[in-house]
Amino acid sequence: MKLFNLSYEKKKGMSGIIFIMPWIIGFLLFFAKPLIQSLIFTFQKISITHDGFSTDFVGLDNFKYAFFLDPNFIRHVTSSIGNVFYEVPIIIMFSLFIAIILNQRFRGRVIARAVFFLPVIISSGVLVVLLKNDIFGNQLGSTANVYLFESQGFTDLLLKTGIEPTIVLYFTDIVNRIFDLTWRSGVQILMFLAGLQTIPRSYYEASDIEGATGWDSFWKITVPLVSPIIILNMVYSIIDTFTQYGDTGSNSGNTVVRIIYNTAFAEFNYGYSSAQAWIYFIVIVFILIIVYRIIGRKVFYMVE
Amino acid sequence: MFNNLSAKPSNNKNLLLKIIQSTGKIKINENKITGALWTIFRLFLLVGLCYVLLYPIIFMLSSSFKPVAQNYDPSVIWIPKSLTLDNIRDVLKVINIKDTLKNTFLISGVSALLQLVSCMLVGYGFARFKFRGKNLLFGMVILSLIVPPQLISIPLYIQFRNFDILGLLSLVNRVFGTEIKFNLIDSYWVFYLPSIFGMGLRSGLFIYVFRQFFRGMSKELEDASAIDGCSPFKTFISIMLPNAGPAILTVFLFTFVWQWNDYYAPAMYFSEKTTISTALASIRTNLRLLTNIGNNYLDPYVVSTRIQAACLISIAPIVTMYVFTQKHFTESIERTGIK
Repeated sequence: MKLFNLSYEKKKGMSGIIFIMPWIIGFLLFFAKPLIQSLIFTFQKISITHDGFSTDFVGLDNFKYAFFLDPNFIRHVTSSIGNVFYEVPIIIMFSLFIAIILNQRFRGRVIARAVFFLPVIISSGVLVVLLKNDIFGNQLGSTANVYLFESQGFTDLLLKTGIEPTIVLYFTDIVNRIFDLTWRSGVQILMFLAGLQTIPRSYYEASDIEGATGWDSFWKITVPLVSPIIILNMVYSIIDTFTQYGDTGSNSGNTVVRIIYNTAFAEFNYGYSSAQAWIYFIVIVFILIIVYRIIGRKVFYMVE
Repeated sequence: MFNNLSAKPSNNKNLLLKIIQSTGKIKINENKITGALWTIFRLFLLVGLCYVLLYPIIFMLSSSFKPVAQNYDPSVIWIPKSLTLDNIRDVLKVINIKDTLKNTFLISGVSALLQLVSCMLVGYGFARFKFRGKNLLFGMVILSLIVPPQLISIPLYIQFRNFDILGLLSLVNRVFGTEIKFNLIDSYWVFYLPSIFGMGLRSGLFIYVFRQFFRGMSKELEDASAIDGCSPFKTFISIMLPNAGPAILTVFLFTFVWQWNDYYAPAMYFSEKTTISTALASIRTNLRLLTNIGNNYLDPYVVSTRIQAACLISIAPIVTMYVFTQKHFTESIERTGIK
């Protein structure tokens, strides 16, 4: 009886909850419960028995071990943080640049786009690690890759011109990483391209008539209008860099993820693995907050 | 006198016009030059980067059909002198292709469909309805995106090992004194169950995409159908769904492809079954176990050509799919308007 007395808005609200019901169940069952459980695990030592598992409370021992005793974990975490701060800006700039180019009109644009979106399809971390080891690992000494993906000669040339070595090394490092970069910017290029296409062409025409150069309209029109996507892409790239597949053996990709996995499923040290994962997660959240604080303020939202 | 005065400015005017015209011409020429330079630069850049992107695929194609001995032939770089299927044959043997492909297709296809349906409903719920705590719940969707899967994987593993819905099974066991246990490890349900409930691989992102998409639909349409007596669910089916084509296609392709490439979840939940990605990750070790290669595995090219063949096999189905859907893939993203 009461159900019929509800207003239209209220009824609509009820059906909204019905629509998201599956997600609420899934969230509780496959996210909230495991999340809380893994937090509890960090304070425990877990041993697998034949009918499930048994736990011992060990307090902060897992965290103490991670910070003060484990020779590898913290070292790999700091190096992956360094990696994020180094790679994410490059990925963002690179993908914005490519998206702007792909948004222009030229012959063969369809083919160029199809090729640049290939990494979105072949986004397999396993494959990329294999490729890097095999094609670009140089262990086979094939002539093709020596000329293509080694900028040694170029580095020497630049160093002889007297440019600061750190700058030279930074740039040549980017050149050497170009394979990595192009293969990891697929999704970002896609998102930037989608964003660029929402900018009306008339804005550029108007600024052109007013005498703005391409450089001006890039900073005054393009950057502000795609800034929401810049922040979205940054968050995506940070998470992607932090969680990509890695191989501890060849030391490529993200090794922390591999360490966490091995602690759990090779050493069966579930408690310690949970502690590692939580430390890692807190680091990620911390970095996301910093980035959001710094860049989020400059984001421009068009009033709708 | 007056004539002179009036003539002078007009002369000046003409001169000015001439100057403007001539500078205009120069400007146009300058634009043409920079434009041409830019076109050439763009051409080189795009060709170069396309080469970087296509290089691995060409390399895979070249080395998987190349007889091993020809790697030492300096006259052979890209195009082999003769073709062989040995590399492919060995890989097919090592990765047990029939089961692996079946597993991967089932996992990717079915969970992509399930995820599509659940994320669409949930995204619609978040986009078009007002209810208490909506923003908080949507914040939780974003949180589920940020949390790395490693964080919840161990409890999930244990949960799937002794699967139980809200303690119902243990209640049944206690009442009837039975010892029923559901071990979902090594079954497809590990992927299907979270997908049904909108918690599959990167489901949060797809909920977000659908929410953005459905928010763009007009409210009048919805209200009109409500006045005509449609229930919200019927409105969704008959009005929203037919217009959601681009978003549906985008999400389906992405879920399928990401599930196909995902390594972490199959590696964790499957101990006996393999998928393409887990098979690929262990290909190097498994190749050495193969007897006819084992004898001469010191030759790096024997292993490397077979790894290239394995890589080729792993991407062949999705690249073929991409070739056919490429147009929709690149255009639908633009039409869904992710903002």
